[in-house]
Amino acid sequence: MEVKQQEWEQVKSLFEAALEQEPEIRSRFLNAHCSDPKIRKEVLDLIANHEEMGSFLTQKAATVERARSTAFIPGQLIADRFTVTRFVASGGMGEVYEAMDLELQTPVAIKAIRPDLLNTDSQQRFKHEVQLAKQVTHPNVCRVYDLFRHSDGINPPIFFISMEYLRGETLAEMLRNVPRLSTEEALPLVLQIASALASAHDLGILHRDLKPENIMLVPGEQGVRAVVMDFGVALRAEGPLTDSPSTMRTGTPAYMSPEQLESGNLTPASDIYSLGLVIYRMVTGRHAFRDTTTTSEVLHRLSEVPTSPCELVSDLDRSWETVIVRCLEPEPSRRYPNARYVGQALDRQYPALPLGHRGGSYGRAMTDEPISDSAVSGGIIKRHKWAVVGTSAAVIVLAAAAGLFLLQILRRPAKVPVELTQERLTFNSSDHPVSSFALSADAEYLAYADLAGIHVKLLSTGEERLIPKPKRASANASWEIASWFPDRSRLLVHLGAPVLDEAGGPGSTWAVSVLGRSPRQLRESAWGWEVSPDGARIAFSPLRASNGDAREIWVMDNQGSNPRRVLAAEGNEWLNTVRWSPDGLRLAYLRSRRSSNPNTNSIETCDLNGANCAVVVPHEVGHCIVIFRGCRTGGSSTRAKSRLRTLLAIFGSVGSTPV
Amino acid sequence: MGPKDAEVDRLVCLAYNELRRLAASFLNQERPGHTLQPTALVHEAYLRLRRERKAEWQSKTQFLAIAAQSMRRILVDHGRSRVRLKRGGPQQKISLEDVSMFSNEQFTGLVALDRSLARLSTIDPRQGQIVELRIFGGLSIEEAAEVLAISPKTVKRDWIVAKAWLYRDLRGQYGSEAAGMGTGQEPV
Repeated sequence: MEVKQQEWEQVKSLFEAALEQEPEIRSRFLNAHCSDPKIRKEVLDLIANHEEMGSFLTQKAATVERARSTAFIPGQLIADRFTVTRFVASGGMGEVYEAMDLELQTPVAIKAIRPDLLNTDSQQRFKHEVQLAKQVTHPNVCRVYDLFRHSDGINPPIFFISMEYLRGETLAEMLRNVPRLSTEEALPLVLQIASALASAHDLGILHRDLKPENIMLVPGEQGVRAVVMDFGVALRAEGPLTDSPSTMRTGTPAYMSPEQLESGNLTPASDIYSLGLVIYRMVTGRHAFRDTTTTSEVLHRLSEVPTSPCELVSDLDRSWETVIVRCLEPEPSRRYPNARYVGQALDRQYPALPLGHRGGSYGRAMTDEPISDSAVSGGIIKRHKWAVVGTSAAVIVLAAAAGLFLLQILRRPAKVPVELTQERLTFNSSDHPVSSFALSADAEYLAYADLAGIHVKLLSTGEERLIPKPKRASANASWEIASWFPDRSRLLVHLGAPVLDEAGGPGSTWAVSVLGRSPRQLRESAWGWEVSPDGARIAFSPLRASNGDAREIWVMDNQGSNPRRVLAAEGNEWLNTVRWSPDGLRLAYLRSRRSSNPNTNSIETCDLNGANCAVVVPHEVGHCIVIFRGCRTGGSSTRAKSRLRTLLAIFGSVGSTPV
Repeated sequence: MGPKDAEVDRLVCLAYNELRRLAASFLNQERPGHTLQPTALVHEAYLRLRRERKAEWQSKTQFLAIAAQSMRRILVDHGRSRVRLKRGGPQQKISLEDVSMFSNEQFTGLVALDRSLARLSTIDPRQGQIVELRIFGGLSIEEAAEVLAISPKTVKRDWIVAKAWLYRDLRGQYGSEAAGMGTGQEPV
């Protein structure tokens, strides 16, 4: 008995209405509301089927799992060294067991890796990751001891990792039992987790799968020890998606960063995003994004920011709100550049970034983050070197973490013991000079330009790479480095016509990847001065002619869009050497006057609307250079050390009086 | 056919090929705990296509609708090939134990469901679409409502009737054991 299409609408509405009635009166209800016996019968028939169908079509997918065979059984001796004590849990990567290390007579945790996750390639990579993870010996990182292979001669071998055995509960388990944590309760945990991330990042190891399930809380005499597990050995969520279905994200991507969801191009900032989600979950009791297992929620995450934590917890401390929001910036470069800043922002007692932190490849020497007084101690400074630039010989002396050096001068203007050392970094001949250079904020990398292109040098090893000029640039066009982007992935570069070539035009501003991507032109006829400390904006000056006089200061975003004018020079003046303040709210610049000979310069600052201007050093003869966050960029200029104090003071007291 | 239709065709083709490739590599893998989740495949396909910038989707919902359609074709084709393999031809009647959904061994119930769904669509195209989005695209009630630009309430109402109708239709084809479809785990 088929119901025709036009009758179907009636069937549907009657079905719904009848279903709301008690079963025994449904027939009567239908008789009263429908005169067509055929339709009545159809409705009753469907209702009968509805009642009978039970769980029909209740699964959207195949979730019928075949019985799982476990890797090990309790009592089993594996790799001739461990006895399996008990099965603990099963996760995306494989199964976890408690076992006894017979050699060291100590309990260990054993993680058996699902065989289908390890093909020949991933095996190599995994071994490498375990090697790296072994190096992390931080109290808040679960120690990875070693990788083993168990073979019984019949079945394919099983790889497993032995790890520190931790007795406690995971943060996820804890959060199931309490609605949310107060900031006082959360703080010690967050500090420990941040410290764990930072220490691993220092060694170049990313977690890639930070989530409450991976954080173990171990009760102890001095309170709860938070231990981050599975560092760098998370197999499934890593790297670009591969064709292998084994790396397909079958689990919930709830704690992944947008870039992880999208491109798989991971940096420490991705872990910091995950940390932000974990903190959010701790202090609000909710996940930042509703149910991230549905397609649309995952897609939202690619660009959206979550509900402000303060909306959920009205009395949440502002500093927590700030920290969470910054961790969850969709754009990685806008997040904290180092997990230590998270700790610092939440807790003034937190030890500040070690100065001149060589291993800390991801740190910045100085930012707008608060740095506690206790960080600035005289002893540390001895490791640092100071810098001057030789004009043609290009002997560059380094100021590692000069920013903090400056801060120290600011705070203790009396006497600062500074040990200056020199180191020759470039070896160009005088007919092939270094035209410009910039030191990365962490003083790990030096980028310098000469006629061949831009060289990026890792200072610790001397390893060097050449980034050639774009093909369309003429051979003797200059390629001038303005600054690093704070995430250290790109350089702000000016591609100019040769100085004496009048026909060459004023040149253009480029973002040049140091990771091998093609350089990208941001703006024609412009001189890019510097990238803002948060990496979001670029200060530049439009150039009208090839003589390169800049008469205006503009700001655009880091993609070269949304340009707007900040300030214009007057009469016979021009503007020069524009620098951002550490908090990114002001600009400092030189105002040069042509009236007399030689020219005079004054150092001034203004906010991003060109207002609230302040003259820091009035017009005087001579070259001076504006330095804000240490001596990190330069050209063939002389610099006066006596200036440093003054310059730092500009931002120490936001553009008021110099000390 | 205007250029717009051609573009939609191209998108359908892209989504279909991507999903088929992902599904194929998944279905060919034999491993414990093997489950195929349309939602995961659809995420994966979306992210890949987005990353490769091969396609500019008018909207997320446009993609989801296309993906659900593609998943249906893929899964049903897979089910058909398995029926052929097992029985030596597509016309064989499917035995009742086959009529449980989607697991690798018991894929064939999909073919029957697909047939019933096609019939439902002739009576009520919207219900047909809702079932397609929910079952093959793995979409929630709310997501399906967004795709179809109707209220979640309407989707829910249609979904219940559609299930009852499909259940009856499948039972008509194969007897009451058709209730074996779905094993009563978490409701969608």
